[in-house]
Amino acid sequence: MDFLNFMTQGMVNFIDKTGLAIIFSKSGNPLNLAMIAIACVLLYLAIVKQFEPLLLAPIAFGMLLANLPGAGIFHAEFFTHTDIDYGLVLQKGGLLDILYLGVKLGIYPPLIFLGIGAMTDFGPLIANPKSILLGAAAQLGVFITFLGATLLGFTVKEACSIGIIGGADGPTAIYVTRLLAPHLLPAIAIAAYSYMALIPLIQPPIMKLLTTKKERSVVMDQLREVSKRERIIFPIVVTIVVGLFVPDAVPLVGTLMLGNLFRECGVVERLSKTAQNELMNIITIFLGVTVGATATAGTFLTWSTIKIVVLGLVAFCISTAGGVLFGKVMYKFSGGKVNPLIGSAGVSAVPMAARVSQKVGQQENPTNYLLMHAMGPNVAGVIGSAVAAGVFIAMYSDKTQQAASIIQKIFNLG
Amino acid sequence: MNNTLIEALSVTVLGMLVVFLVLIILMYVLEAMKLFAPKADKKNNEIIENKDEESKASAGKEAVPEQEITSQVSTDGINEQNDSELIAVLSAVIAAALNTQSYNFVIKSYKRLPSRGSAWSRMVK
Repeated sequence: MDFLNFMTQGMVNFIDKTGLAIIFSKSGNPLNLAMIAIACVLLYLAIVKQFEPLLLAPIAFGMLLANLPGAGIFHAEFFTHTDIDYGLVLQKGGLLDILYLGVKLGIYPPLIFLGIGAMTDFGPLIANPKSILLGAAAQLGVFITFLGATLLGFTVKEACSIGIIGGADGPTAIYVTRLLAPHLLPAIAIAAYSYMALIPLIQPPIMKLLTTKKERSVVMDQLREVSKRERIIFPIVVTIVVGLFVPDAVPLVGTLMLGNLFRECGVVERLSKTAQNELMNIITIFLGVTVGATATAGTFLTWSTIKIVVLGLVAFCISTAGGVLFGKVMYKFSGGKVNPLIGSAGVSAVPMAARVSQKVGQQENPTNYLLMHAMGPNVAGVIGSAVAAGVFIAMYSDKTQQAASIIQKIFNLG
Repeated sequence: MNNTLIEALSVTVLGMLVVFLVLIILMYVLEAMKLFAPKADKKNNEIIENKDEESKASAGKEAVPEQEITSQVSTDGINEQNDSELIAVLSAVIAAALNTQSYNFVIKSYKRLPSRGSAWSRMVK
């Protein structure tokens, strides 16, 4: 009889600990099932529709892992307080908790930028410096959406994070959000990356609406050749200039330019290869999975997520329009030498936005090759959105205090 | 509410201004960088030449066996246009034969040797 009792008790204990039992118990949250369903939809989009699969696949799977009840792989509650107990995270945290520290402390986005820098050819921008203005104009959406989000009742800090989606730059959006509005991180990251994937659908109608047939068929002069020396000086100069004016943009712009220096200087090929391949891939996995893991039912299934998704789209559209309209200004001033279609590439999604300019241009004139011309504003957009992020951070971050308290805590640990 | 709106408006205007200002400055800096353009290629060549000389100097000791070996390598039937490819192959062979790395020596010259054997033995090879 004892044996039977023991077995029954064991079975009951086991059943109590299954995910299903936990979901429907008092402490469980049936909405986790909805989150698992959303994760599966995102996986479908990543794998079948190939929406930014490199990021969306890990994000979706992270979401799946974090919403499996009882797995304890990620503890969102560790990070909900403004005053995070890092000692607790290290002692009791699961795998994703530890990896999430890289997001929380702002380590991954700059490292991703290092890789992007090593992969990016800034030649078209150096050859045509005026195209950098298009990268600035395309930040319009960031600030207009910031304004809109404040009007819709988000706090100023939340509005900054939402606006930055318009920069079409995933790492920058994550970097700003983790500082200013960490609770919105999953919604913003998912919105930012989804819209980046949807660029070929979102941008062309806006581009066509704002330009005339004549403007779209402008053929631009061939870009001049850029010397090796210019390519090497470029990252150094950009870092100094941006650093002196917007120091808060340095973690992003600085690493972007370091990566680019690795690429161009020609003496550290191994470092350049590592930055653009192994390191980038490792960080992408960590970043994707942990950002996905923050999307738990409690934080994600809210009205603000829906508002963010809508506002993100608005930000994207205004940024595109800002770039194209400024392109039209340049068209006028240059006496019809600049094709306004390259303006839309000022949003920083490299190189998709530039490809869209190329494609729309070729629909008007099949012999027109705008790709290299559009790469200029495209890479300028990366710098532009990092500067915009720097502006927000400079105004609203209390990171100096935060950094001080983190250091204090680390010492207290010992 | 009004205060928030004013704050948001000012941040919007200020933010756009800062972004434009910084990128306009960068534009002028990039324009100024054109000054470096014409000299650049010459400088590159100099660097490459210097590098060659340095490696030649450091290869001093190894240069002797390398020459002996190259003299035995027959380069029959290889087009002269493929020089760099040929030298890459030769240095790999020498490195393997000397059990060293290819940066420890420099191939200064190579020469096609007349075949030692008869036409028959060449065919057999």
